[in-house]
Amino acid sequence: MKKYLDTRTIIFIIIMAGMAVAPFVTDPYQLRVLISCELNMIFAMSLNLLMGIGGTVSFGHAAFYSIGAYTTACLWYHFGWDYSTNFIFVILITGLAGLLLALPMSRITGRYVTIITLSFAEIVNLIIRNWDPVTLGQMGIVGIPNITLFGYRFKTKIQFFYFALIFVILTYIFLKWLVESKLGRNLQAMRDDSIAAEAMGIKLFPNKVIVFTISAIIAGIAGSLYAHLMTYVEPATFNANLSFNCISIVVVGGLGNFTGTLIGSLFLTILPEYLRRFEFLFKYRMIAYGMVLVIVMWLNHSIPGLKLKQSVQKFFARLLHRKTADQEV
Amino acid sequence: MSLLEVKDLTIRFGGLVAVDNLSFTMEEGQVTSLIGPNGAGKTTVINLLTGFYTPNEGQVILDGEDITGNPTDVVVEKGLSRTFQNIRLFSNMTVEDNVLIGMQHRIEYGSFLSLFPNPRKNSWEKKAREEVGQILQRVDLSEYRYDRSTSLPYGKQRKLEIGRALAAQPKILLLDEPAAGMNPVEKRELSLFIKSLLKDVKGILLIEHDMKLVMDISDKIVVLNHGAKICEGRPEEVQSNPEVIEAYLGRKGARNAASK
Repeated sequence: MKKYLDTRTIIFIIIMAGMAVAPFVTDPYQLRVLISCELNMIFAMSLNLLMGIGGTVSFGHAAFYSIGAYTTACLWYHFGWDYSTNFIFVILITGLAGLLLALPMSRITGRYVTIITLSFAEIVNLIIRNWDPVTLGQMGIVGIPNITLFGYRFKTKIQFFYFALIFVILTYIFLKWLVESKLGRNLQAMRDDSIAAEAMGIKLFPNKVIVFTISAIIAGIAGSLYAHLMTYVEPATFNANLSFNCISIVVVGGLGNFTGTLIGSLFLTILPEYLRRFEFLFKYRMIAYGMVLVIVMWLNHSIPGLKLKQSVQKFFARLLHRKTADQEV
Repeated sequence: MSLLEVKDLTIRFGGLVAVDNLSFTMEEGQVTSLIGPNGAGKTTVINLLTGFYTPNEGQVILDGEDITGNPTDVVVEKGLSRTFQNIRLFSNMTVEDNVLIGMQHRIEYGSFLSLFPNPRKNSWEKKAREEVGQILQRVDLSEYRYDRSTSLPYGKQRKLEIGRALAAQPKILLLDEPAAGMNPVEKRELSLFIKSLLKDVKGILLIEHDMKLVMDISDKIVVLNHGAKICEGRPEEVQSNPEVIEAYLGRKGARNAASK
């Protein structure tokens, strides 16, 4: 029988418990790194929904992140609204952007989708760069206050940390609901074989629109938190690198595996920060980073630890040219 | 009234007439087979019936209802469900989930209710999973319920595909070369299994190259060549039809066969 608490859920609970006690033992710098971890978790989970469940590789997911960040920043700058109001607009505007990007999907499939997402991110970035009256262009928006909810302004980064943690948990639970529902199953069926899915009576286009919209909204929420964390937004932050970094997290964590995404975010956010200490490694950190990615991908698209035994077995089996029981079908 | 009536069905791809003025009928409680040499247009016919292609001319009437040119999701709801020539399972999903996809149009809660737990979703999920149990029992795959679909052996994957199609509770099951790649023992088993499926569906349309299988289980055979029907009838009538022999063996081969 299927177990009620599977391994992934248990690992999720352990990570969240660990995160919950982390502020008591970290210094402000480490706390800040952990907050970026949380933002990366939300951001990467949204991309994993699109890539792992929806089967669409997006090279431009930073677009939604930046739209979310700029929405809350602009609303604060022009109207002085607080986060509780801005949050609604973040959802509306990023959702609309996701919807917009999904429209070409009625005619386009496969790698062309990827190219469209890449161009979409560039277009969004160009608009942000040049729409001076609203986004202040290259200068960026400076001095965004810490999150304010219904008149109460967060005083410390610890409060911010727990606020973001709530979003991580909510996103995870929401995505779990989604994946285990009819909608989630249909999306996975489309990912595995769109022709068979169509033959089973699944309407492809509406499902694509829904998954793009939801993914965009979650990414936008992560972006809006980012604006309040950094206190400033500028166009240069939201470049293609941000998208690629997010893809690395998803790939390291495993496609369609949200617990893996959490581990991937921890790993790939903390590792580069940790490597800063070593001058030699810091110079070559991008190479080290790349190598880590290649090794992890080699180990069967998953975090070592979740599938460690199998992965290592396979790795050595390949070395020794021997078959493991698992490979004989 | 026939269960399925195909009238003057024609589709052209550019200059090529892939299916040419095809008419045939299917009766309730029968296995109807569609045979013909490679490239005769058999799979195209299935694609036309299930809404993957829209015919240029002609009509498809299912149980008295015109379903010509309907999109695939409507066709599934009206009661046509298919399998594929080359197995098309959802490879990263479990056996259970594959069957659940088959019955997805009968699970009546929408995308919005999918996003959070609610009584409607819970009760439908529970009901659907119970039904999956019955279907897996029907196709003899209960023990594989939580396995990944592609980890099954080949013959079982075929059966799962049939199970997935059955889960849609179709009136007519369209089987596209179910015996491809099977050994004689498996084929015998399959022919009994297909016959037994008539308890679950009103009619079966079978596309198959294995003549023994086709002759064994068909109540009626439609022979296609170059997209056009050359013959239709009971297995023994078709077997002795000179045009059919010619289509399969060529003119010279047919003469040799006749002289023997």
